[in-house]
Amino acid sequence: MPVAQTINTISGWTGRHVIALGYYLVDLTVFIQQAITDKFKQRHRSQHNAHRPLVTQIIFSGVDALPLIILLALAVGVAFTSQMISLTSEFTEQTDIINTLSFLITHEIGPFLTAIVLIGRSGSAMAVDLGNMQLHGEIEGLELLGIDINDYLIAPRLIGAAISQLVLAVLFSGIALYSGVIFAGMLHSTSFLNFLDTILSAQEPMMLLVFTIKNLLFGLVIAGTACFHALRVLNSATEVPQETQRAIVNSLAIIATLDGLLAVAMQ
Amino acid sequence: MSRVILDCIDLLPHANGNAAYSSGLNLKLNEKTITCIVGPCDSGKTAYARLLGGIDRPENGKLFILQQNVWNLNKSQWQELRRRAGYVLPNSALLSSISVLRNIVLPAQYHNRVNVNQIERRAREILDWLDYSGDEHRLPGYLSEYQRRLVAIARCMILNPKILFIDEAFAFLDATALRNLSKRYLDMRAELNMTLVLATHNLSFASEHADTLVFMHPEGPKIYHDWDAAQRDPDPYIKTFIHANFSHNTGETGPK
Repeated sequence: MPVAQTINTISGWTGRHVIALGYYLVDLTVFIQQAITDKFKQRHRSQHNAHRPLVTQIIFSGVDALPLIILLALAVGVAFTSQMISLTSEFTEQTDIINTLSFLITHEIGPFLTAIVLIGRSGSAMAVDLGNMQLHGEIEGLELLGIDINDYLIAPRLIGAAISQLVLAVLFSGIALYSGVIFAGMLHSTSFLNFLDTILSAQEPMMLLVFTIKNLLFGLVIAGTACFHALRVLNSATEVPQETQRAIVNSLAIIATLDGLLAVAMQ
Repeated sequence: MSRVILDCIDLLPHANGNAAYSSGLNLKLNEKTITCIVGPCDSGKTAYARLLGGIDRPENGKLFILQQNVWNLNKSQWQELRRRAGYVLPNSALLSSISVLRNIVLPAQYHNRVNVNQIERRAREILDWLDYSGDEHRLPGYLSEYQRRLVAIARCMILNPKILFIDEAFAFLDATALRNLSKRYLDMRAELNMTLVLATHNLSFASEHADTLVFMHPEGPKIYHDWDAAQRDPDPYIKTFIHANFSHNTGETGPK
């Protein structure tokens, strides 16, 4: 019967994709966990050598992304924070406005927009870089010299991206909040500048802990997905852009899902 | 008596859609020897070089490098083995994002060998020894094929390996580069007491200098312990290959 057949086809397709998704997430999690574990197993390596790739990654993912993050944070400050303050200040308490803004920017907009920047800049670059290394046998060349690629290539990217995501999100949130208040004060009323003192006190320790965990997790997922896909490249140059595109799309999907799940968990 | 550096028993590669061999490779390599894996294109030289180098798992057989059963090693033991058993891939596989000098320093630095200055000094010594004439601060992408080859060999040599596998040992080289590299390989054996395993098309070098020849034959690898034995083999496949190569290159049938 056509209806039963259609239902069968749809349920079969859905089932196959759910199973494939499950396997993908397990593989990705094991990949990230294995890379971090291997990093700590290789602690006997000289300190200078161990830190060099990590510092390079933090410079690329964190320091080099600063201008873009500052620009984006200022834009959010002007477009979102200052308008929220000027629109809601007439019928809401100052503390409520700051609490709401702090929560929205620090816990939702900041980490998410920072993650998108990190995916666009670092995730894609990592996937292309490692993918090309894989394609040209550079990774195998390193392994044949007894170099653990999890220790030398993957873990520094994961840790560097996680630290960069956290620091950039802190900067983003701070700039977006403070610049918004200053803009609101300049454009509407100087009384809004009183909000500046209350921004820091609006941050609760528990929420800061969640903020830290969330951003570290985002950084690990972004770099982990990029590296995971890059190492799937085998022999053809066309696999590099294909895997890069998959890494970007999957990173976005995982980050959006994680963000939603964490938001629900925090209710 | 020479120490056995590599011992393989019935080593048989996976077919992988290419040539399927009916018999495995049995080979013992002593220290200070040169072994050449020779044969026509797509005959399985790289497959066997990778098997002997302990990179690819065989379909069947056992492999001992420096008295260690390669396929029983854990990850850290395998990494340790790789320090003493170097392998140069056909495309040299240097890290494209760092300079020549950093490429050579990297493995020694990773394995925690003394300080950076000492490693750099040692890297320069090796480059000099190999007669590398390029700029040590250039990226590998700006080097000639020959220079990349030398840097890849130097990168292995910085770890002082006992055995060195070189895939496509003489590929893409002009006559001068070929002569220089041949001399370096001989020096590695004579001066540095290294064991070399070279996968190559270069029958001239193999016929003159190889202690062991592994000839890729459709039925399975054939081993000769001197060139005369290879020439005496009545197998038409071997005869044709030797004749075609020498008449193509020199018009001769090989050294007498």
